[in-house]
Amino acid sequence: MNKHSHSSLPILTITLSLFSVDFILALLHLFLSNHAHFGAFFNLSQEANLPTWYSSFKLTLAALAAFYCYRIEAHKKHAWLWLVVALLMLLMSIDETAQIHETLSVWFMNSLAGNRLRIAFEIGAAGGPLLWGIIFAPILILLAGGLLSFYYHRFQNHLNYLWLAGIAILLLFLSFLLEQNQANIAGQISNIKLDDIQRYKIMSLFEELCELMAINFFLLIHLAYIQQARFQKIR
Amino acid sequence: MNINKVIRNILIISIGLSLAMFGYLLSIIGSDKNDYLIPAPNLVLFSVDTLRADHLEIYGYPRETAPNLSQLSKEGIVFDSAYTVSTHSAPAHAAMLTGLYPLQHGQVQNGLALPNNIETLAEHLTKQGYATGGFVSDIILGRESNLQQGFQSFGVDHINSGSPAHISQSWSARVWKRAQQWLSSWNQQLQVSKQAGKEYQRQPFFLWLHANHPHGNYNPPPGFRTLFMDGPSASLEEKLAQNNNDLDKLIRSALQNGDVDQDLIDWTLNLYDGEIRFVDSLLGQLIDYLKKMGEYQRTVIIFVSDHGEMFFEHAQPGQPRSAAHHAGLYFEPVLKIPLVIKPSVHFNGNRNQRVAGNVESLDIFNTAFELLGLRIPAKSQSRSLLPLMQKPESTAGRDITYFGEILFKNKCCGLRQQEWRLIRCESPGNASKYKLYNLAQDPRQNNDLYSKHPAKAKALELLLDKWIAEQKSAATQSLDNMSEEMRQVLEAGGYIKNKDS
Repeated sequence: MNKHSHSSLPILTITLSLFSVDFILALLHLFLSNHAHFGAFFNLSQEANLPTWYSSFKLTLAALAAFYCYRIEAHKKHAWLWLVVALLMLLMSIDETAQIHETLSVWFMNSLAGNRLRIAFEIGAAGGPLLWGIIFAPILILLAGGLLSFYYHRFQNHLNYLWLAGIAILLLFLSFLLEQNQANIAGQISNIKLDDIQRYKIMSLFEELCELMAINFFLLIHLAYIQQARFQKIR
Repeated sequence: MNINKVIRNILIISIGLSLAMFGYLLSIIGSDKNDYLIPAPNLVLFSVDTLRADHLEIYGYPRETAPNLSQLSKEGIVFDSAYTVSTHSAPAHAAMLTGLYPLQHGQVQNGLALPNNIETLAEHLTKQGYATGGFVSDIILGRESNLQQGFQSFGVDHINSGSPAHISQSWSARVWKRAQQWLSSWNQQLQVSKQAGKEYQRQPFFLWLHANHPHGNYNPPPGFRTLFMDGPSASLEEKLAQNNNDLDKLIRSALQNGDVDQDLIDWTLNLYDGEIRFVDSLLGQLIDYLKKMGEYQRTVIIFVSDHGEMFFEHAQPGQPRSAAHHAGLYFEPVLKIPLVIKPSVHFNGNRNQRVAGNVESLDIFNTAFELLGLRIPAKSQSRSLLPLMQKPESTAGRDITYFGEILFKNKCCGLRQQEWRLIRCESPGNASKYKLYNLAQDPRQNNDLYSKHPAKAKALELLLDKWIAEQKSAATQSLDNMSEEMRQVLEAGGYIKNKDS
């Protein structure tokens, strides 16, 4: 028993820590994001700052955890799927830091096709890049379907994990919807009102929180799965 | 439940949804495979003042007045039957920039301002993220006209006709220099973005360039005066000297005395054609500059005139403005305008084509939106020319073309349906005056058939009344508010009679 408690992962502590940091980031966004000098560093609606770095860090952890899962299940059939998940999380982490999807969206939105897309969704030029979710929707849908299938396959006997994975995917979907709403607000930049700016800020908060929490869930289920695998091995 | 079956279903649903979304996106961004990721097109509106269509080679003129335009037309579409909606520059330009007839947008004559509540092409494009610059060479289109609405940069260069500065400098050339500087600044920004590895952040531009040549007085810059003739005849030179070398004054005097001879007409046309050639050289410089910037292929160029000009066809003694002028002269050489559209690389259709169907100058508005891949504003009265550009063999142009404006306090409107043209001028307190012409039998409009064809006249009157009833401008402006400078320009140009007009 002692041996087990020494090697176990403090899942509860990790969970509390992850959500606490998210909460602190939310507070920093609410109270400091308008600061003239370092507001951008805490602004959840901007890139290349503390929340982005933190989000990227968590995705890297989730990728490492997935890789560890692969190591544990290396002998099993379809274990390589864990590698795919690890790679996906790693790519998401890189994307978060390198702003790849934002860059591609701006590029796309400056094309004639981008004009047409913005017009179809009645979004002004300023909101165009926020439509990245629409541009990449076919890929995102495939990824969501793939992840759901994978977790269903792996956690068929662990309904709690399956639920958490489902919630994580739902949170990402919610985040995507909120970002499209932000595009609507930003797109009417020429006649944007103070209320709209407040609404945009609140929307950014919820959108980023959804994203941060979704990553938490991915990380937690990977860690919990590792914990369980190790526990079963010890037993 | 069979696990594999569930997973298979999830995957099938996601693949199906993904494909459906992909198809939906494709349907939105169009089926032209070659234009998906090419940067959005730029737009150049090159408007020339007082340019008659039939003085251009592309419309059959024997003199080589516009070689650059001819070249441009090979890469674009030429409209054989384009008509202006006003014989005044400001209302005509306002129609192109708003997609509305003058009686709808409210700027019904030179000297009035376009109402603030009317949205212009520049306003729409600025909202869509375009860099917008307008450069005009006539005070009539300057800030008092309010046509600068929506332009982030706007410049006016105006030199009074006949002034020494007008003769020594070319106002249109000065405007082109301004536009060139603006383009250069735009290009510099692009280069900075490129160097920072952020070329994808490029912002397309909309440039409106207005060249006041060949508007009278006809004074082409040196080098363009004797392109088509060695010089005036000896007798004409003598007459010109007697009139301080002021051609306009000589024409007025000749009309007054019934002394208009072929020498005078030939020299006038030579100068007019020289001005066209000069403007064409500016067009050539613009094209070269766009090519140098690497933007020519992705730029839509619309070449158009606001109205044409009369040359002695209906000159009447005692009415000097009937000789070489345009305002209120509702004849084919004034109403018919040149229109060439060179689409960007995104265009899905054949180039070097001609469209025979009737179109109106305000149709430029909707066409621009379509060529830029943007949604046409709901309030527009314009019709997109894109279907005609893609299928030029179609004759499905406008069945009826209209014009409407205020001239010396008279509301003058008219329409053309097939070979018939009806013109009506209403002056306050007097009965309306009508004229009816059959353009097939009488293209020069010499024979007024209004009393001879009452049934036809009545039918066209009803159509005109119906059209007027649809024009709902709430603008109630007065010329009393214009500046003294504007008043002088309008009086000198024959657009208003005196301070009481």
